[in-house]
Amino acid sequence: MGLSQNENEVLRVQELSFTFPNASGPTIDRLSLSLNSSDIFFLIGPSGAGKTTLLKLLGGIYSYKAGEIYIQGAPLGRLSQSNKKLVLKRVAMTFQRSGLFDSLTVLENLLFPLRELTLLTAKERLQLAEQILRQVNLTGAESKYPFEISGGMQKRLGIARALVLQPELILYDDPTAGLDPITSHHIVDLILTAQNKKKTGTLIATSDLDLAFSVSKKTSAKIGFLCQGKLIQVGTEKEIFESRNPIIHQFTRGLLQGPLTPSELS
Amino acid sequence: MIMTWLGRALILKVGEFLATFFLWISTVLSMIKQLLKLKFRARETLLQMYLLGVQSVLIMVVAMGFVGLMLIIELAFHMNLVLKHDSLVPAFSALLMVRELGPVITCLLLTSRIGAGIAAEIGSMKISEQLDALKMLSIDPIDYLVVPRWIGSVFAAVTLTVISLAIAIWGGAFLAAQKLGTSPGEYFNTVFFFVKFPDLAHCIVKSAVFGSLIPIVAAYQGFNCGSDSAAVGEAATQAVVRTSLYIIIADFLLTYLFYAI
Repeated sequence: MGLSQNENEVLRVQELSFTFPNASGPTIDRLSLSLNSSDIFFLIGPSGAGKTTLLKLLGGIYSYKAGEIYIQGAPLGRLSQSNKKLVLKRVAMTFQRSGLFDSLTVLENLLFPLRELTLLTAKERLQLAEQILRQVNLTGAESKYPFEISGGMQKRLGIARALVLQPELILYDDPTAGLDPITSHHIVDLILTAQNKKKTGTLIATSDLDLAFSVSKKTSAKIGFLCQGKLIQVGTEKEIFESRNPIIHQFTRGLLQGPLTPSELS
Repeated sequence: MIMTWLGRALILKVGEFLATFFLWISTVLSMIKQLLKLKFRARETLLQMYLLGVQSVLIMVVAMGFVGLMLIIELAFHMNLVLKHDSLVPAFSALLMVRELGPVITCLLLTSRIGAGIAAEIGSMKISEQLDALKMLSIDPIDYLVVPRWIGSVFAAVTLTVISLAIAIWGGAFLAAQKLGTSPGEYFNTVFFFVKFPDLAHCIVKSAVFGSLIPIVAAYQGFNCGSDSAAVGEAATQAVVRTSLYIIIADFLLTYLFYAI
């Protein structure tokens, strides 16, 4: 395993490219970024820009051939299967469509990763799961199935499942998609509280500009604008909003006229 | 033009068949790996044995009971027509049940009961990103989803075939006593005279092969389904259609191997 460039660096992406089989062009195109522990980084961009794909590459769900991803200095693409498993234990992800196991109850959804990836005893697993459920305000819903709880509760359960393994890096894929503004606010608070408490590196892919801009303003989190697999600008909310790049300008102001045509917003 | 289209279609089908075959190989390898590591997913496997096997008993018993009765009526009619006597009806019906209809009909019924379910379950896990969540936890979906279902399905196919045979032969004995005047003693004597141990062994092998095809083809359809709910339905339908076709082809190949070479 290689060494990270600085001690605090939790993630470094170097010239990463990825093309889906049968696709005409790359979904991720020579993308580079880095993230320190306790950093929050927002990834914004139009639909089909490659945000989810990038997160799935970082989470080890997709395999890549070009470029490299370093998790705390360990090059994901060059590790053996067993070492990769050890490194990926430090990364957690929440999914756009929840990704919750619908054959398991709320509590079992938290116990399952603990059973699979830790050496904790059954009692310790239960204690930890109950503690996390309290943290995300899901006490009382332990025996319910994911389809029996609301969308907001599902998002909270997804976050709880990401937190339960106490990762160093958490990837959130559109955490507020489909939620009302109040529930969205709760979810954002939950993400920020969890991030503050454990100082985890946090990467949030979102199409919700208000969310990205307001959190960036509060926490001075960086925002990266992704379009057609390329990270075309990284900056503060002010820099992104005032960007002269026509694509970013059109996107941040929601203009119909501009370089982004409906066919590109797939 | 037509030849090009046919050629492309053939290449696609061969590709799909090979992909299913590789999934079968990787499932078997995963299972061997689990056995060697002594890290067997006992809970999931037992659950699948219950869901796929035990919960299918009733439908198999009812269906195969009627198949047994139908065979007696059909064979009695044809033998009386051609040979002018029906003393060999028990032997032929039992042989036909053991060598062909028992494993084939049981596994076709099993396909329609569990094949669509497996494809739909895995397909909906794919579109709701549960498969990605498994990979994120470094859990191989083949390890976690396919191997337990594969063991459950092979177990279900073999045990249900044996149970179905017993029911069909007992049903036949009952009807033969009522319709043909053959006493149960005579019936079973004739059956045991004609049906030999190798027939039973071949029947078990056939049902194990058919049972092993069901979750593999269904899982392949589930893993490769599109990303909308219509695609899940299509995957379930295709799982049943393809498995049924593969079972019939495999039955011909095995019958040829056991009895024609």
